[in-house]
Parts: sequence; C-alpha cells; structure tokens
Amino acid sequence: VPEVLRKRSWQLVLLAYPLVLLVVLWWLATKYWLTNPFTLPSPSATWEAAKQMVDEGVLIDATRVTLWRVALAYAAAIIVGVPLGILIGRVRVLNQALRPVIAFFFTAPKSAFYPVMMIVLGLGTSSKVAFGFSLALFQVVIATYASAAAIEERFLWSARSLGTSRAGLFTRVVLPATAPGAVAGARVALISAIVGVYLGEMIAGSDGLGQLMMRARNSLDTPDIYVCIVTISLVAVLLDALMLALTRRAFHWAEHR
Amino acid sequence: VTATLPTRMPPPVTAPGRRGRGSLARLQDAAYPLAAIAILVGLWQAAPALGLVRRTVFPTATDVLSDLPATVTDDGFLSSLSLSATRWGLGLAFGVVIGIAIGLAMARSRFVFVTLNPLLTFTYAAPKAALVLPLVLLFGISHTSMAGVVFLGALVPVVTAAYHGGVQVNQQYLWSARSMGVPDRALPFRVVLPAALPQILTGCRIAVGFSLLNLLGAEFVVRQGGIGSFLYNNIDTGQFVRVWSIALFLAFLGYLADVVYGLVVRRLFPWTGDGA
Repeated sequence: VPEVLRKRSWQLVLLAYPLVLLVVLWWLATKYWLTNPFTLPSPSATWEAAKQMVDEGVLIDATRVTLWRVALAYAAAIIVGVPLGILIGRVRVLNQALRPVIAFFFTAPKSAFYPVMMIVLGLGTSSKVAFGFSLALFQVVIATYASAAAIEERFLWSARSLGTSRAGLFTRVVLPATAPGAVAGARVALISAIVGVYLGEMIAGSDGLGQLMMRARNSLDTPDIYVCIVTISLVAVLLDALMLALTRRAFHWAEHR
Repeated sequence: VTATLPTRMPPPVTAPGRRGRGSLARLQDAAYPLAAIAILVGLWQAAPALGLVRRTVFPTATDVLSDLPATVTDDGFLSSLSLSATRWGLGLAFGVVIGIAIGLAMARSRFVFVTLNPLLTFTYAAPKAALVLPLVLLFGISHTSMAGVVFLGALVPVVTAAYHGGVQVNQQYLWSARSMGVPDRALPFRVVLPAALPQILTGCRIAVGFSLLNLLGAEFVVRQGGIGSFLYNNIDTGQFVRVWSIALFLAFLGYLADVVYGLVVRRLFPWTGDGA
C-alpha cells in the first residue's frame, strides 16, 4: 500500500468508494437498462422508501428482531461448536467416533431440515435461531477441529517437560494454538448465521427483516423489497468488517499462519 | 478481502506410532463411528417414544425410515426432484463458467479488480436467496428466476476462489510459456487456468453446497414447482412424517453429491490434491 493511502482521510475514501460505485451503477441501470421502476426503483426512490420505513419505525424494529436472532444463533454456535471442535481435534476416541457424523452434517444441505425445524419449533424465533445455528455450527466445529488437530506434538512435549500440568497444557498450549483457526471459522459462521436467520424469516413467520421483505412483495411495494435487501447486506458487511477488525487486533501474532 | 470457508473435513487424528494399522485398529475404525450413529439413532427413536417430544411433529426413526420407500417412489416427489435438479444444474453450470472467467480476470487485470471488487464485497455476505424477489420481478416466476438464484449463489464462491487462485499463479510460468512461444491470448487457458485449478475446484465445492441452500430457500418462498415447494406442500397438508423423510433423503443426496464431487475431482485432476 502506498504511503499516501495510509492516511485516515484516504482510508475513508477507500471505504466509501465501493458504496459510491454501487450506487452509481445502480442509478445507471435504472436510467438506461431497467427503466421500469416497478422492476428496479432508482436509488433515490429506494432512499425515500427507506426514510419512510425508518419514520414509521418498521425498519428499525425488524432489524432489531433479526439482529437479536442472529446474536442468539451465533452465540449458541460458538458455545457448542468451539468445545466440540477442540474435543474432536484432541480426543482420539471422539475423533474416530464422531468424524463421519460431523462430515455428514457438515455437507448435508441444512435448508432441507428447515421445514422440520418449523414443524417442531413453530413459526417464531426458535425455528429461525435453530436454522442460523445449524448453518453456523459446523463451520465453527470444522475450523476449530482443524486447528486443534494441527497443534504440533512437540509444543505439548516441551510444555510438559518444562513442568506444565495437564490442565495447564489446555489453557496455555491448546487454547492459544487453536484460537486463530477457531476465530477464522467464527468469521464465516457469522455470515451463515445471518443468512440462516434472514432466510428463515423469509420462508415463514411474522416479524424480522426477511418477513418485512416478503410483506413488501405481497403489497407490491418494490422499493421496500430493495430497502430490506440493502439493509441485510449492510448489516452483514458491517458485522463481518467488525469481526475482521477484532480478529486482526487480537491475533496480530497469527496473521501469517 | 472476503473470508474463505473450510470445505473439507480435516484428516483423522491418529495415535503417534500407530502407523502400521493392525486388525484391532481397523476394527475400532469401523466400530466407533457405528456406535456413535447407533447412539444418535437410538436417541432419535427414544425421544418421542418416552414422550420427551410430541410424536406427531417429531416422529421416531422407524416411523421416518419406514416412510422412506413410499417417499422416493412418489411421482410428485420424483418430478419435483428432477425439476429442481434441472434448475440447479443450469444455474450451477453458468455460475461456475462465468465465475471462473470473472475471478481470473480480476486476478490478472487491475482495472477489472478495482471495478468488480466492491460488488463482491457487498454481495458475498448477503443472503442470495433474497434476490429471488428481484429476479422474479425481472423474469417472472420462471425457470430463469430459479436458476438465477442458483447462479448467484454459485457465483460468489467461484469468483473468490478463482481470484485467489489466479493471483497466486507463479509469474515464472507465464514468462516461460511466453518465451516458448505461447501467444498472449492462449495464456489464460494454457497457464493461468490450470495453475489456479486447485483453488477453483475448492470454490466449486463450496458453490455446490451454497447453491443448493439458495435453491431450496427460493423454492420455499416462491412455491412454483420443485422440491422446495413440494416439501412445503407437505407441511400445509400436515404430512409431517413425509416432511421428515424427504429432509432425510435430501440430506443424504447432498452428502452423496459432495462425496461424488470429491471422487470425480480426484480422478480427473489428480495433481490438485485429494479432491480439493
């Protein structure tokens, strides 16, 4: 990166550039290609719709509901996934027993099970959280497992020979060595949790951003559909950027692994 | 910089010094997973039987498995499945071919990268199934809309993988190819593509899973034929055991697709590592 681009003001420009370019492309598309506003409303019409939805309070409410569900699904995926990944990566018996089971659930299309979740858990928050959880969980498990299993035995041997206790091995060798890989998996899993919750809300339910979009479709309010799509995209991009920044700060020592 | 997904199971954990596998070890290899599966199926069977969950919505394993033969021979099921498969194959094929072209172009041209990267940054995290609504506005409720969702779901992972593969192509390969008389227009096909292939194949594997997720999601929402809408109709008519058995069957189908993908890739492109 050239030195001049390291200045804060330039970084802001770099951050804004994608957004500006997108809006310009969008505007050009409505001007010269998809000129029917019912198919693709202009950026300004969408902005007006967004302002109105904010004024009415629906957009903020729906975003809050969706974010809360994402937080629940994501927290559950981390709380279950990280210990499970470490166990499968470090305990041989568990690895032999569970590897095929995890492989099956990792590759099986989780959306096929969403109807089952709806039947069992109902149309409210729990089925959306369960769907987001099921998409995020296995990514956390696999990433944690991979880095826990890749710890070099000689690290453990040296720690042992320097007098580290068995419990100490876990907190002082296994956890720090697993953390960067687990966090990398957690970054991808965050997006999966968002996708799962939004998709779940689209399919059935009564609230949340996904449902707001479906209602806009039913009342043929095209600009409102795009407001919801842009909102969930922004939420995902911002949360992902936040996650990346936190990871970089916490694991700068592991950047080049 | 977009995040990349883990695509493959990490290798099994083996005990140090157990390189030569004795018959006992091989017996363990088979017995432990079987025991784990038996425990899981046992729990599934026991939960409704013991009244922990309601059997009408959470049928036992035997309820579901005994419904499976009737499910897979059902005409409606088979025609829905083949309709979805057509949409999926079409969207995936376009997504892979166009995705590779875009990704490699981004890797080899600064201009293309600067223009397209913002689009990628903003769309890679967005739920692609949501785009079924704009697609329906554009193309109506049609195969094009449904295949379009598959296409968009496949595009992002393939572009990302092809870009990363293309960036990492050893510059010396290009120099030597050129010095040996490969014309510039042939370089992408004869050097860049083969060199980036391992990463591209990994991207395709992610695309297979992603596009399935998106297609099912879109078919749940826009119920116009296909396995997603067939599944949903069974909910509407209260056929809950059927919903379970279809889900189980689709899960196996998805798992099988991934296994077959790994085998085919290993066969066709053995130099790219074990199945990308």
